[in-house]
Amino acid sequence: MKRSRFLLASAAAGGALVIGPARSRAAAAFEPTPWVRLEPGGGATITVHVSELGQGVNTGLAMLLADELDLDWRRVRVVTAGADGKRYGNQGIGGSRTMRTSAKKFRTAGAATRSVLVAAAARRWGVEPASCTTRDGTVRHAASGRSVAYAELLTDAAQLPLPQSPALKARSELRIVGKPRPLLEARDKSSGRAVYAMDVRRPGMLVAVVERAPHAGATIAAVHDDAARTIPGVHGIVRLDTNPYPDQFVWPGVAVLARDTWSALAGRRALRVNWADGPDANADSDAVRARLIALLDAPAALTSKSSKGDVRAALADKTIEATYESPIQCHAQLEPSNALADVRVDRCEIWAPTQSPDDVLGAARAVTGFPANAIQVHQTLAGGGFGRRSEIDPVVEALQLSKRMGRPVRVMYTREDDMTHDFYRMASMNRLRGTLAADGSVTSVAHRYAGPTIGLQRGYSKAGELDDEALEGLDRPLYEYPAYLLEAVQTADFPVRIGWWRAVSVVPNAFAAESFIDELAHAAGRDPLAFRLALLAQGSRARGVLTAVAERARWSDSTAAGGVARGISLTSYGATPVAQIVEARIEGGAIRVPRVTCAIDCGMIVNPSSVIAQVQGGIAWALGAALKHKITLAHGRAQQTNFATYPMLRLHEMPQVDVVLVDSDADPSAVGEASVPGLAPALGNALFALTGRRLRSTPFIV
Amino acid sequence: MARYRLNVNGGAREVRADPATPLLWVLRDGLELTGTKYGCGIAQCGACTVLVDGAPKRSCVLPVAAVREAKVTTIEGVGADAVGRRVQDAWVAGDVPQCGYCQSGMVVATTALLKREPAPSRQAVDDALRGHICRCGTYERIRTAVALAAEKRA
Ligand code: FES
Ligand code: FES
Repeated sequence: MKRSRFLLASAAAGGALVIGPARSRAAAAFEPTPWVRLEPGGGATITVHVSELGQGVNTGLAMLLADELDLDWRRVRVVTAGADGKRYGNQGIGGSRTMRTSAKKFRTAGAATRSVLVAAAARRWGVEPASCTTRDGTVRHAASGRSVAYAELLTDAAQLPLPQSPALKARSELRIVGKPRPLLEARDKSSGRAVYAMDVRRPGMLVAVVERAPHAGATIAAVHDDAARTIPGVHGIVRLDTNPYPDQFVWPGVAVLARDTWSALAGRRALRVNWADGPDANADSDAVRARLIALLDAPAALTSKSSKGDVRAALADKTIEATYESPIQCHAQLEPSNALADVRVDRCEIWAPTQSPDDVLGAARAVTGFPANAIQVHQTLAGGGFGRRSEIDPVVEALQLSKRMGRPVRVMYTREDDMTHDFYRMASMNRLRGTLAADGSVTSVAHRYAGPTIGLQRGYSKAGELDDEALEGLDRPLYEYPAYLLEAVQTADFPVRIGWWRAVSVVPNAFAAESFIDELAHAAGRDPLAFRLALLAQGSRARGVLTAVAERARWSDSTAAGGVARGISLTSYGATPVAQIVEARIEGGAIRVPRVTCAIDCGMIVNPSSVIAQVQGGIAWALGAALKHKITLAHGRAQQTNFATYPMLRLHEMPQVDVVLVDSDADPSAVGEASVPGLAPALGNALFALTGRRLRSTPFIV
Repeated sequence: MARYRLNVNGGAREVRADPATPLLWVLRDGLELTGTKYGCGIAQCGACTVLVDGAPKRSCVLPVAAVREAKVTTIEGVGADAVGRRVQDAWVAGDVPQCGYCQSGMVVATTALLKREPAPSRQAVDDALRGHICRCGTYERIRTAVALAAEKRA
């Protein structure tokens, strides 16, 4: 939406029907836009339209608005909006896009609000607005020494029209943005007071655990629930045979409802369900792998528009070919999937950790038949998201169960449920062929992707057309190869549900591309940094981060001394380039990573503390993925069920991460996922430098 | 079903529960102390950590019947203690939590560590927290915050 229209629409919405927790209104509060309300008592409430998953979006967006409005940061409170697309626009979270899509909206809302407050004060004093300044919730007029708190201007300001396109502060005028701030929730999260969906209680609530289909396509053949019904505390057993919300793959299941969690779990242990096999009943990891290899060799590849030149005509003094493989992986966000629904006769409420509130609303409409204004969606704090909360399977189950029981119902996934009924990061293979001229320069790179895609599996991408989403990280190559061919053989056919996962396809794709360029550099007898720089445009942001990381980590001094070797990578996620240098050694047969240096250019840095935290977190995520994480399938089902068989990176394995924030005037771009893709290739490159052996599949085994 | 009189955060609390019920669910469902989290149920993640007579225990595998007279301190009670408060302050100052779901367990375990060992070595910190998973990867800041809390001791 254009800024002017946004402001008009917001002003109009100020008087609209109020739904959701964010908007109980006090008598003389001033709420010029959906994003901010100034309280007569002097505080400010900023409404954030998306969920806080730990990515720091509440704090970051509030900082932007508070800075433009010159609020007293200590008096800023943030609430999360309910689902209301009309009022807030798109509320989904994915692709680390919130800052990119919302920074301007929040700044504009702050600046417009400031401007009417200044106008109200100026009018009161009979002075020019331009002669007034603002700071910490107060308008001042220096010439006359007068000042007035915003809180005293609310009624006057409400009479004035909001400007259509207020001027935003220059970077140098920003006082809150750009300075590190702890997350607003830090105290609550350190003292057990933060409320997650799993913590919400409603009077009369039942807890449900669901025995779900063991593999895709399995259906309920028989339910033996006599024993389960005798467990004290169990209130009911409900079959969920059909999925009322086809936009989401929800498998059949049998729910055990009880007055508390332990009784529900005991009830489910006593339950026996016989399943009728679906077509994937015998799918296993070997078959998945064989199928990916077959795809890789299939003649019918589609060619990406990003291809250029003729790779077949390229000079080829040397030809290098390599195939890289990435496994299925799960999310394992620490708060397992869950949702609480309270369906009444004419209205309903849902509490869920969600990245897709619009979908939650859609499912509620489908299950209850209620109009949107009879449905309240509470986006609670989430114990991690990483893409798993884009799926609303627990919501669909909770809605049906609450409707059936006439009571509030929480559906709780155990860790085992969560790990065996995930929407996994897909497995894929990438085969690369590169050619070098006699002088060691690259003459061509051909890249072939083979694997399933989310869009094909869900039917939003068309068979026979290239699904670009799965080629992210490849279709805008960072390097200026003289000839580049990108082809893909993609399929809808995969035995488990696949979904978005921190940086999704960019992780396997960048693993292949950035390992391969290292292979080319070694084949050419060149330094891997110099080899990359020769292929990067002068002045590009990608070149900027690569140079920065090399300087910080003193790449030029690098020798594989003391049993430690280093590897480098350059990746990009969205508009954010990231370069990493990873140190590795081998100790008692295990890979150790003592240090990672990471340079990131995410445009305007709103909260440096958050950016550093996200970069470190992404590296921890990626290191676990590179060293440990692989879901294997037997009988169509994940064989790993909990942290004992799918181990997580732990404190003593965490490298020291040195983050270099590269200054940039660009608009804010992706952070949360940006540091994930580059870790595995940089580590693999380090291990090659260390051992001379090239690892082409993750997790790495030495 | 049996009746238990528990000593939680310095007060006596009555609950009725099956003897095998893990303390975790008694705290969360019975006593509405939801700061203690469920992450795995098999003593692998540490999210459910509480202090039992001052020692960190995984409440997800501790049957309520085994608690008896012991003093249970949950994340809600840990701040009443000077060391616990210092740990929480360090967690805020160090901007540790991301999603925050693991942090109740981290704070409780760190409090126990610092009460036992006011100036712990790197190895002691590793040993105290290696049973805790942070999926958001806040480990570096946890390490810094532990050091900060240890430094600030009176
Ligand atoms: S829930 Fe107890 S250790 Fe994970
Ligand atoms: S902060 Fe999210 S799991 Fe630790």
